Amino acid sequence: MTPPDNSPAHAAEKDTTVEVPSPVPVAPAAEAPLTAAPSSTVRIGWAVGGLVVVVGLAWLVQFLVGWVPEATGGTGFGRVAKSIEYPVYAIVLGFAANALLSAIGLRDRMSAAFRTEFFIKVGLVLLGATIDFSIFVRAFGPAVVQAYLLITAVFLFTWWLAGRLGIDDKLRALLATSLAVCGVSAAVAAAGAVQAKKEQLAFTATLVIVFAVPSIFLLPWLANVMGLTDAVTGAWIGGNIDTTAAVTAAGAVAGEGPLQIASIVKVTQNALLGVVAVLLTMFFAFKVVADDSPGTPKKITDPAALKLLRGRFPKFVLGFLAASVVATVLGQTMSPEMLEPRLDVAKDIQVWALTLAFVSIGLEFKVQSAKEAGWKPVVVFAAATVVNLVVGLALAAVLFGGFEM
Amino acid sequence: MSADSGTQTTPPAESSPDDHKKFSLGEDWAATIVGLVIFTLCLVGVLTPDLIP
Repeated sequence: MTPPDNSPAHAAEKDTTVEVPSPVPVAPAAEAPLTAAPSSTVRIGWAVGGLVVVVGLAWLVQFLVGWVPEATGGTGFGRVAKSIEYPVYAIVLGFAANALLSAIGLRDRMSAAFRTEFFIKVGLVLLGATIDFSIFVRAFGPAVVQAYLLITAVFLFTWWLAGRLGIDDKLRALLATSLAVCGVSAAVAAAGAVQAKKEQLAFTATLVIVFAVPSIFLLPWLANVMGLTDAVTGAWIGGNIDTTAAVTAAGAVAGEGPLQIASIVKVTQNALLGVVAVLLTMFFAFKVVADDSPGTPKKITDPAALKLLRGRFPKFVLGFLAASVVATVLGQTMSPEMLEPRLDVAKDIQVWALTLAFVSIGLEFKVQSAKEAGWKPVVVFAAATVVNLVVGLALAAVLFGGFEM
Repeated sequence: MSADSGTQTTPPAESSPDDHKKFSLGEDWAATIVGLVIFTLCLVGVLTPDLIP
């Protein structure tokens, strides 16, 4: 995983996994102490080992998806087993492997292979091929409106509540941006914009994951209980769940229609991250810490602002759109007999990429960071998540209520 | 990233979340390119169902 920030971790696009490092390299009891930095060959060896673990778990997921319903057919659990989608198995197996590898001291050594954001983005590019571009065009307008209103409402509420609880301004920015825009990647972009500490980024990234994972199962279930249409479900999921990976997982649980709309809504929201990052940078430069240094944007049209916008734009969105356009054009020019089998293969590989990503979500989670988060950010996150759910549902119902898939 | 250990008199230079900017940008482009390459290989028939576990 890449060091900070996923947002992308380090910076903008993090959508790369944020390397959420532990504050101090205090090895847990089970961790074998390293007396010297390992050579690159050793590091590569461990990374390959980690990749074997990830791929092996993904294969096990594919196996369980088929075998469990068969093995439990006719039993009480059998009906439930059929509805358990692959993201559920993937995340559970990821957590289980995390616990095992941590106990034997190998998790951190193998962590270079746990690349949630990379796998997710590959999967999303391939997912673009399953979306008719006309759906994207029709959904884009409502998605932009929803994103703008939801980002504004959630950001301002979180900023206000965190301020009332006395949370440091920089951490306020991280919490507000991650909740309002796109999770870990937004937190990383905000961390860069406001020069936050890595500890603050680690806390925020952990909170994002802790709240995002249950949402993967909760939102599809609530949407089903409330009888929401596929489009509203997808818009609600895409506008609510913080990380792109969790949105994709929840969409996959909810169904193909919700997954398509959730992906469009989420990538639209992600694309606005650059605007938020520029505004944050300018706000902190002028209002919080007087910063007149070169490279600090003074207004939105400054070259520095444009550079920041360009840098923060999630590049995988371009691949997502390109795949959608190509598939749509070929749908008009190639015969279905020739095109459909090819698109089916792309879809199978997409499922594999997303399975790898969901397994990595479980493998990457760090309990230690969760413990260090403290109660105030947790309260802020919980309250803002509720606001996000309510406002998001209202906007999704209004903007996507009449959307025909 | 260092903790507030309170025992250091000269704390190490604090690294910022943007330190690995180049690498993260590289990974984003890499994922985009890998995804599009895979898609292209599917469209031209190089990747077939037999190859997918």
